[in-house]
Amino acid sequence: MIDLLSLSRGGSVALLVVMLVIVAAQIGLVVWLAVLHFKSRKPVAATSANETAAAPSQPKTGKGKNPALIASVKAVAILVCICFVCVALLAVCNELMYISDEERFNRSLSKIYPGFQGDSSFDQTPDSQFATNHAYKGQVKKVYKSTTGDYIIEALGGGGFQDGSVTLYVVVGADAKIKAWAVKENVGQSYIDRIPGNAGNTWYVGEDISNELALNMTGATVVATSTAINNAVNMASYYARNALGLGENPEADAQKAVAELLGDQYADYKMTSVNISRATVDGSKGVAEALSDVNNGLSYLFLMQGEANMFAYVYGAKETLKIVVVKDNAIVAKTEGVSDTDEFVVNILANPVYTFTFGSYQAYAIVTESADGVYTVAGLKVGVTPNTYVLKITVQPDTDGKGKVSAIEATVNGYVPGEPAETNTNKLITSLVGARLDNIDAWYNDKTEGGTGFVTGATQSANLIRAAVQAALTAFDASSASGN
Amino acid sequence: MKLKKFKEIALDGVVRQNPTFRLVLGTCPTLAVTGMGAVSCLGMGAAVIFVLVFSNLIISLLRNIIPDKVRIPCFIIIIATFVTIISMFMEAFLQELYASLGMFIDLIVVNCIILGRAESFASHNPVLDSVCDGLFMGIGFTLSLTLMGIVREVLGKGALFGAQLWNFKIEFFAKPAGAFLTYALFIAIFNVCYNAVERKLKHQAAHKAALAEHQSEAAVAATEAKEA
Repeated sequence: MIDLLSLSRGGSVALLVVMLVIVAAQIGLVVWLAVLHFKSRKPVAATSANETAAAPSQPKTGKGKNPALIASVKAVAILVCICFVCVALLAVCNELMYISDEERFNRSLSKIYPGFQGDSSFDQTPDSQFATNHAYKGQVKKVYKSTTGDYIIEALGGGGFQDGSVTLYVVVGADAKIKAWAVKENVGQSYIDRIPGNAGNTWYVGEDISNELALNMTGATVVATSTAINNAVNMASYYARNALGLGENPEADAQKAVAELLGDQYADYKMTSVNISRATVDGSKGVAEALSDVNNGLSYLFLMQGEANMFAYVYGAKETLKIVVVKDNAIVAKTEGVSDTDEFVVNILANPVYTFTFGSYQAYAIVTESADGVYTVAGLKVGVTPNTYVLKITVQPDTDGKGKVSAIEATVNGYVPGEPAETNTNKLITSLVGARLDNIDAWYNDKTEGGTGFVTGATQSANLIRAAVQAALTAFDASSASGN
Repeated sequence: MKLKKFKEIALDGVVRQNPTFRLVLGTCPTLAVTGMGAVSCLGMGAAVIFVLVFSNLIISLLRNIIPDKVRIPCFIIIIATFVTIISMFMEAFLQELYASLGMFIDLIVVNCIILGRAESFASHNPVLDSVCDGLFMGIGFTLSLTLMGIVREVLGKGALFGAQLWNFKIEFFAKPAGAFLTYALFIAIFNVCYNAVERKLKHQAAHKAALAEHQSEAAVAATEAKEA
């Protein structure tokens, strides 16, 4: 017998539930109308003759029935009957055309991993410690292992169009490389059909999961959906590195070392990588490399957010990690053997990470080079979105000796491709010329013709640019005040 | 049903009241789905035919039972049921088509053609007439959609029914603005042709009527002359 109440199955369950709720509401309405009907039939003994005469006459049938009410009850009853029949029909269809999770899985995999044989002894429930990652707005839902040792990770990546998501099956080989991926489902990605049909066999394929994977959108014109796919693939890679032990994970090792160094006192602090590896300075150096020039071999920079912001600088290889943790430009902790007079420690204090809060956003900037009033500043973003700006900002003394921007050149333009981000960020960069530290708020918020306040579609990029300019002006004013 | 009425319904659905080019209904899927290629258009058309035929059938069967006050909610529930069924069917058996059409299958519920035919035809006509109306309206919609899809696919992608013909393509036609232009051109051409044919038919009918009148007058005159 067909199980009409099998609510745990099928895609139309939500619809059935909604319909049942509607039916229940309609039954309630029928009961209510019936009660009203019977009340209206009670004789009103106490009514005086005058009141009776004044009362509006109601159409009555021979036995005192109200035809309008009867028609309403009939209408609702028919609607309820139609609902019941439709629900039953849908339940039958649901039973006949039900697609199990296993079927969906096999369908998605048939194109990218034909002949998949699952290892039945492998627990498909993901390790909860690594099943989510805020940076990718991601979640791992299930993990399968093939008899050949490959893993298939069902990973959701957020940050798509209108903050929607894409769920992928990502095949990660035993050699820690991505073999293929396929879309399982998506939320709100109306242009997902613009992702090329062969993307699952080309994008990210063969890449090592030890490193975070940069956005790939070859042949596609949908930035947001491609970003969600990128986040889902990175989510799967993150899980494979941390929970399945595949590939190298020097970043996680570094974070672990920082946590061990700080101990319980800062256990509540949330540690996030500062994006220093995506962009390239002068076409050759990465931002990390540029910062390393200043700080002698910097490998990672972590933002630690708790009661206050701290920055953890990590140097060197896994076996010889050196860590310095700085809060308010003072050293909080450092590994053994690191001296305050070491060159990189001196450089850290001389080139702090500037933190700026613009409304609900926080932006960061580091001055990587300064000579003759020309500051090379990296505007950095926390997390994985590939916005990094490196600006060469020329600052000259104004009439009162305070710094005033006289020229800005974007060495690295980290906008996410597309309009109006590109036009607006370029406009912002040129129009900040003339700003001073004491008037940059008004300057930035100027929404008049030619003002800088037009940053539609590039809010985060604008914050990084502004942070870089403010960092250069702060550094200039500080050096002027100290007489250097 | 008489053959003449069947012909009338068929002509209405496909030509005279063509939902896409004459009534300008179902514009949303017309603009969107035609950009996905002719195969998707055929799939969308088939889904619409299914929903139209079955919703018209049920609504016509129940036309004397459904009270006027709740007819719209009843129609919507019936239409939504058949849309859900076709959506389930496509997901189960036509995965590629389902993936390419995506949300547009579910959006058939709010397609003006379906509710329009339910309200204006099925709720006032016998079952067989309503089924025929649904079928031919669906065929009219499918033909229009497929024609537009073919033109946009050939011009915008250099392909036909998914098969690449040549590398030359005018991408504009595959984009939303191209959809509007193609749609406008089709409406214009269809209506120019339709009006021309209609004028010609009217002219022929008037000529025939005049001829018949002339003949009858001549016959009367001949009879009178004979009698005299």
